[in-house]
Amino acid sequence: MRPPAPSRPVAPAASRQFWESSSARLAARINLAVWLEHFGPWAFGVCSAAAVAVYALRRQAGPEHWAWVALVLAAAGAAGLAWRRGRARRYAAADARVLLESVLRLDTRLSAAHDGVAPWPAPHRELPPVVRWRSLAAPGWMLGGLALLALGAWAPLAGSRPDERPPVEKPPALAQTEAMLQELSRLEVADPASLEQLEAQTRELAARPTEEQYTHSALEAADTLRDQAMAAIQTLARGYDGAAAALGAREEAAAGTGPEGSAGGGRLAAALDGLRSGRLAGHPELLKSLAAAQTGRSGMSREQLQQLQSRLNQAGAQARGVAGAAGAGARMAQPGEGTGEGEGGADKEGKGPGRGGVNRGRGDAPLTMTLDPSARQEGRIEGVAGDDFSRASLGDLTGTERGGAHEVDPNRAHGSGAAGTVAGPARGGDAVWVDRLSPGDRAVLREFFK
Amino acid sequence: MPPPSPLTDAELASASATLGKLLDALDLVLFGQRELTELVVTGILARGHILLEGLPGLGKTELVKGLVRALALEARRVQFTPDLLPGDITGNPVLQEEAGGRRVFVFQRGPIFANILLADEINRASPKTQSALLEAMQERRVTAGGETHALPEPFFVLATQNPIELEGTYPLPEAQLDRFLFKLEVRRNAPDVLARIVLHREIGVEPAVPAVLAREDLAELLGAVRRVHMPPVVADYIARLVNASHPGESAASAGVRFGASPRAALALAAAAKARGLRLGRPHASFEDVQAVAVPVLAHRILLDHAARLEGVTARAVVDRLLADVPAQAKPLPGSLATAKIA
Repeated sequence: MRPPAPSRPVAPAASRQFWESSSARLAARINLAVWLEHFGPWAFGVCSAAAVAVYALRRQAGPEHWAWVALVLAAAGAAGLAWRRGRARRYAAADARVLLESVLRLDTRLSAAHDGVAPWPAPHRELPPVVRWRSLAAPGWMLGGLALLALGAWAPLAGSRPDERPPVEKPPALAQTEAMLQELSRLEVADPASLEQLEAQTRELAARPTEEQYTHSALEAADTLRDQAMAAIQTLARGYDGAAAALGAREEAAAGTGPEGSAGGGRLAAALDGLRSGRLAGHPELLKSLAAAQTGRSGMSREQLQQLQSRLNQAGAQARGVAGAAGAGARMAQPGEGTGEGEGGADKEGKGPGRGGVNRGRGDAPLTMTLDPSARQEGRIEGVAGDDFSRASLGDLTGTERGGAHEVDPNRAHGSGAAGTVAGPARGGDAVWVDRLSPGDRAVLREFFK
Repeated sequence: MPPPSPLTDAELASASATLGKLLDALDLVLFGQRELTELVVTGILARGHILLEGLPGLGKTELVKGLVRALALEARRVQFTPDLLPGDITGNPVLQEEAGGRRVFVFQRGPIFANILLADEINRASPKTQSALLEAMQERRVTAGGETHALPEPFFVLATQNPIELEGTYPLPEAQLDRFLFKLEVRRNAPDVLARIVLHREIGVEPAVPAVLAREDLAELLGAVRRVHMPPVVADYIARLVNASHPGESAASAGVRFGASPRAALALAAAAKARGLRLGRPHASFEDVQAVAVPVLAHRILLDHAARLEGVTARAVVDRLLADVPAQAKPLPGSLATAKIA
């Protein structure tokens, strides 16, 4: 590229102005580059910090405008510092003039003209760019910082706001307790004042921070509260049952059909005291009617007393129902507490198997499968045809059951033999596993070595 | 000392025209060596001594003889040989009998008492004889027998040396090399130039060169060179260039054992001003400095052994200096580069 040809001769003042303004513009451009070189990395740092701050404030729904104010102040400070740090490298107009005349090969005419020993050269029609950008690192720093800032300002906050977080489920025991208390309140079988005490304790536990809901102590507290609530409900149910039974006995005695006399009135008074003094007191209206019936001064007719008895029975059943419904999987609600036969239940003793639950009473599930329940445990074994073992999984318990003990003789002699002969093929630990261990023993061993 | 008045346009035009004539006259002597003759004229204008180095037969001596004839100055030629004594150059005290019969020593001036001394094959003389030139070249005077004799004005030493025949030679010491303003390499001619030489030259017949300049004209030109303005920015450039030639001062000075001396800076300034005048400018420029940097600096930079073993030359070091040292005092920021403007 050839340097542009000078234009036609012009006045010396115009030439001087042209070259001096060109020098000033060149100096400004170079000084901008010097400033950018210093400011670029700092701008990146400031923008990065601001982006993090803005993003964090957005997540916390904090006041973002303070981050922007801090960004502006920090950027202004960095800009000033960059300008100060680049002071030694900044170009004055004289420096730019020298660069201009050396690049344009003006034979130092500009400096000579400035010194007054030669005329100013004629201005060029179009001055070519004397310097060019060699590296875009400096603007790159700034663009990178701005990109981070934009990211911090506009990046989506999916699931980051506290109110948008998925709700943390309450511990099951706590939820059960709340459900029980709500149900009791709805059915109106317990005194609201006594319910309020349990509800207050429930609210206190539920008000703990989310991250503490599942700590060991919190879970233990929730379990304890649930057990206490269920015990209180059970007591309430028994109180209603007892009151209904006592009322019925007294009515029967009054009608002359029952064996009880004045003892029935004592049982009714005891039941009434129990309903009043329990952790969960009976519903005030029921207690009021019961008290009136107990004193005998209410003038209640026989039908009314029967209705009251029926209402007490219903309240007891409702209370048990509340405890039973909420107790699925809970210890108190586990049927089969007992050890004997029978229906099993939370408060019934029996020798038969329970109806499930992690802490049910004893009762091994029979291996036999019969259509007749009366034939169980009597040695009548029906084989289970199962040739398809593809559906069996490792660790499935298989075995047989019989009425008597296993007849195993571990010392059975295999007959005489010469010294050194082998009575049978050695099977090592497999022989013990197959010949000596019952399925239960194997299950224990498997569990141990698992 | 008041600053000299700047040269007028008329003075510049006159000087430029005169120097053009001188160069044209030298072109009659040496074909196709315009760059060399321009540098020789520049060296003369800068009042410097010139060392011409080249193979035999390239016209070194002819160039000097042609210059002598064109300048119409008194010139002497000394063929330097190993048995040449200092007195053979500077002169000797000779015992003479005066009119009263009294015998006194009278200083018999040697060939150095001329405006131009052509020292042919200067490296063949012994160091003792070479050193006899030191005072004359620097201070333009000769001291002999306790008396100091000024040399005529102007005084130039134009020396030649052969770079290949080193047997029986004594390479010039650094101190003496430093006194030469230029060390110019005379290169062989291109074929077309050689053809012109064959056509227009005969062995034993010297070309006719007209006397272009009178002594007064030359003195006027030398005075005009002193009035050429040296812009401070150019002086700063020269200083940075010379400083950068020293070891550790710049990346370009890698392999340099000793850099250029302050005398080299003065020589650069004088040569730049002379070139500016030759080109009709009232001031020296960066381009002038760059044009004379190699002949001024190359013989003043001493390389270390490692660099010489690697084939680094002083000329290459000067080229690196010119590339690395910017005209402006402040370097450009790393993100900018100067545009290429051919």
